[in-house]
Amino acid sequence: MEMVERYIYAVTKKLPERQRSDIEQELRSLIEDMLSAQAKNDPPTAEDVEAVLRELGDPAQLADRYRAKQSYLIGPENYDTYILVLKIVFAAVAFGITLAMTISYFVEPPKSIMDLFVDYFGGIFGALLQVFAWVTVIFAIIESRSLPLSREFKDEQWSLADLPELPDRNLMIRLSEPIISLLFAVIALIIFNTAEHLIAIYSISADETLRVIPLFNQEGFRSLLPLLNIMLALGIVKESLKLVIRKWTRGLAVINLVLNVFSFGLFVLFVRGDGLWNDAFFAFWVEAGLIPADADPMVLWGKVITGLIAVVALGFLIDSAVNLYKSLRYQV
Amino acid sequence: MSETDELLNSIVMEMRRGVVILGVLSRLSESEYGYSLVQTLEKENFPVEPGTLYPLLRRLEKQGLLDSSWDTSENRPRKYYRLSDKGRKIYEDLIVEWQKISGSITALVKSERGMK
Repeated sequence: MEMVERYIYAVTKKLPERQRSDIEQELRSLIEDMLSAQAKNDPPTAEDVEAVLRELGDPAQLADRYRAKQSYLIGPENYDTYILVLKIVFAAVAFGITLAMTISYFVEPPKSIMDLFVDYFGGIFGALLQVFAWVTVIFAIIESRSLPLSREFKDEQWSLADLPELPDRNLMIRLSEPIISLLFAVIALIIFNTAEHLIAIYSISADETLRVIPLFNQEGFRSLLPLLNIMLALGIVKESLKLVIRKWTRGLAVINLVLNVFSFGLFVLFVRGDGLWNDAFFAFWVEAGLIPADADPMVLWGKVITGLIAVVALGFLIDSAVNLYKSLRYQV
Repeated sequence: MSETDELLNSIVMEMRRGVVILGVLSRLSESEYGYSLVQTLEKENFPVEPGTLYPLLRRLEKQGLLDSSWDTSENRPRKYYRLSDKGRKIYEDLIVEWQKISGSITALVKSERGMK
């Protein structure tokens, strides 16, 4: 009889608490009824129990029927969008990495063809795995919150007034906008991952030699780079969603807001990160007499960073708020 | 099972799924518990598996078509279901709908046979 209890437990463990004990009791008396009607032996043997439980079928399927609703990681409603976003993001990333590898090939030729292959395929595989995980997580969140991505009608009850207005210029996302953003994101990914030392002040000193003073401290930058990469990846996901959905639905506006909040957080962590900036960079300003010798360049730089954060915050805030407002007005 | 048989089977299942509710409601003017209903339906040549019937009964109850009560007087506690007032009304309307569907489909099938 232990098998019966285990079967019942397997069916009911994932059902809502409120219904559980009722269903348990009902199943128990059902199985007893089936046993007394069908068992060849009295009391029923283990084989009799097994035959009855087999007839009832896979406990997971039975639980599904009780639930009357399938649960999905990514449901049929959003699946097509998911695949489309994956394709776009994969293409963008593969393109970006290929370009980056090509550039670095000329800047610094690899020691052997073997190294080149390992770097290239390793890099692509790693990056694709990352974006795959991010896109999937985001879509799983969308699914679990049952946010409508491109659905127009909330239920069967619809009226003529619910029909979408003909594309309103304000609400449509122009194709060029996400494409340009994607392009910039990919270029930024490439520069930050392969040529960050080129972001620098170039000056000709008195003896006519070129001085290059990188903005970033290479070591500090390397350790903070993942933050920047995740931020850019989130940006790529966001722009891909815009590219696919093409108008500000409520679901898209909410995702936009969430991604903006995350991106902003990553941005602040990055620019405020330890040892990010190059000390020689500050020294240069003092040397060049651009700031008074008695002023502390670090304090001044701190103010610049605070200002930068404020500007970026304002940008994210406006982007989130405007699109949220649009989408809310649109769906009323 | 060949591919055609499998396909036929799944279409038949789909067809049955639509009328199972009507079959179940027809036997619930008097209180019945799940397993006795399984046996009754089987005897009437409309077998419904317990794994399908039990969740269905709960759903119909939740939708207000059935009332239920636990009978704990016997040594085996059983949950009895019967039509609610709402359920009865819907059942009667369903019969009319069924007769319409059945009539039209019979006529359609017959006229197609006649054309051959």
